[in-house]
Amino acid sequence: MMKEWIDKLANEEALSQAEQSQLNAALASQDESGLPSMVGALPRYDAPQGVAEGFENSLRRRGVLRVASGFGAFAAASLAMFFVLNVQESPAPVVEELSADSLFDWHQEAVATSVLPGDGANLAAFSQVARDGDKK
Amino acid sequence: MARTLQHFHKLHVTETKSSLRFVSALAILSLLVAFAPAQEPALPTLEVAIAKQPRLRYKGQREVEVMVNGKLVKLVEYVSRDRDHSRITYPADSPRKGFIIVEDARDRWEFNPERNEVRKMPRRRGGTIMMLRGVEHSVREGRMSAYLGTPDTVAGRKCASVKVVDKRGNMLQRLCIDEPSGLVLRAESFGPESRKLASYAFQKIDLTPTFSATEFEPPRPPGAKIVDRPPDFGVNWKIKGPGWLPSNFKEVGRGFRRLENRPVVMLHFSDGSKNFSIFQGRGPRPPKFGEENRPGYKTASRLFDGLWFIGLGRVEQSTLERVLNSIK
Repeated sequence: MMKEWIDKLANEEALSQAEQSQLNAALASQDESGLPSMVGALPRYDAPQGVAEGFENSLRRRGVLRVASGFGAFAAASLAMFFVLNVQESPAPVVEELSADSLFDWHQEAVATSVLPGDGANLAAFSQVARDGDKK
Repeated sequence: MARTLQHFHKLHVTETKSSLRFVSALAILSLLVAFAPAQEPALPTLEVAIAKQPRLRYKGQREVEVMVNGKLVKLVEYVSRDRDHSRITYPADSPRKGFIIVEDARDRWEFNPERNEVRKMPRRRGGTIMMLRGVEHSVREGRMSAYLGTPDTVAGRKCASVKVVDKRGNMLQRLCIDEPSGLVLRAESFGPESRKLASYAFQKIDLTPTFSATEFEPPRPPGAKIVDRPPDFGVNWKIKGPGWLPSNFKEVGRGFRRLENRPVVMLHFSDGSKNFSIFQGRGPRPPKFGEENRPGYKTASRLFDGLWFIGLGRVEQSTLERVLNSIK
């Protein structure tokens, strides 16, 4: 019966005079029985101590595991990088490709010196002058 | 009717005038061709000069110009020559001041005052005689033509002007020869587009000189070191030469160059009419030639002993390869 009155109140329906009196009486008798204070004094529900400790330990273990696996992954990556950079076949040194076109000009210059008197400043003599100039 | 006749008469007169003009132009052209001075062959002049070379005696001053790395370098030389002996010295303002070059029939001595050393080497070449013989051979073989130009005057002496051209008519050399003595008073060498690449010209000449008793003695300055080998230019490898050369070819020049700042040594060989060069440098591969077409040129390359070698010239490919393969 009390449930019906509570539902009515929840739906904001008005209780009849009789119903209101009966409800008041029921609430008063409930108070008198001391049940509400007994329920309020009961300890609230909590997980058992063993279960809570197990859960905490598990969390701690997982943390350690995560840190350890992080370190492991870092070490593996470093090792892999080391192998990539050092152990694989060294690339051939980059050799600058020289252009041989100047050789044609030098050959032509040398051919032209055939008109020069051989007893004088020849090709070697001139190049020695140019070489000294290079050094400066 | 009269009008029509007049018109035809006019036409006839005009046509006759045009024909006359054409015929006279043709006649003038024929006369010009007939009386034009023919290009006189210079072969006899060259032959006489060649014959007189071994007996030449003179003292003179000449200016030498040569292209080195695209720049024309000029030097004044004082030269004394008594047949196969010669002595060269340089003016006080010359970059070669103090240098002395003495040659006899066999050897050449170069005194370098900066290093205080006398370098003894085999005589380079017969000089002018080799050049003249080369021209003569090329003309005889039909590879070049030589004809006489307008006479010129060099160092106060009248000389025969000889022009040497290739088959396409490009000027290769221009010589001024003193016919009584056979001395080449001026010689010029031209490259593509008639660019002058090398020359020498006497500024003063005495063809009846007197020489001192020691004029042609090898230079022996006190304390000077005698080096009995060709110049090595201070490169960090032993310069290698070929063990085999085609007949009549000699090393006529040796030079040092820089290819993209790396040292390159050039040895130049000639028989007087044909030439080739051998280049060498340190490196794992020889320099690469571009796409430019160089008609008539042959090239060959070889890697040996940590060095690259390139042979280059207007000679047979097989000749270049054989020369390179003979390098030990």
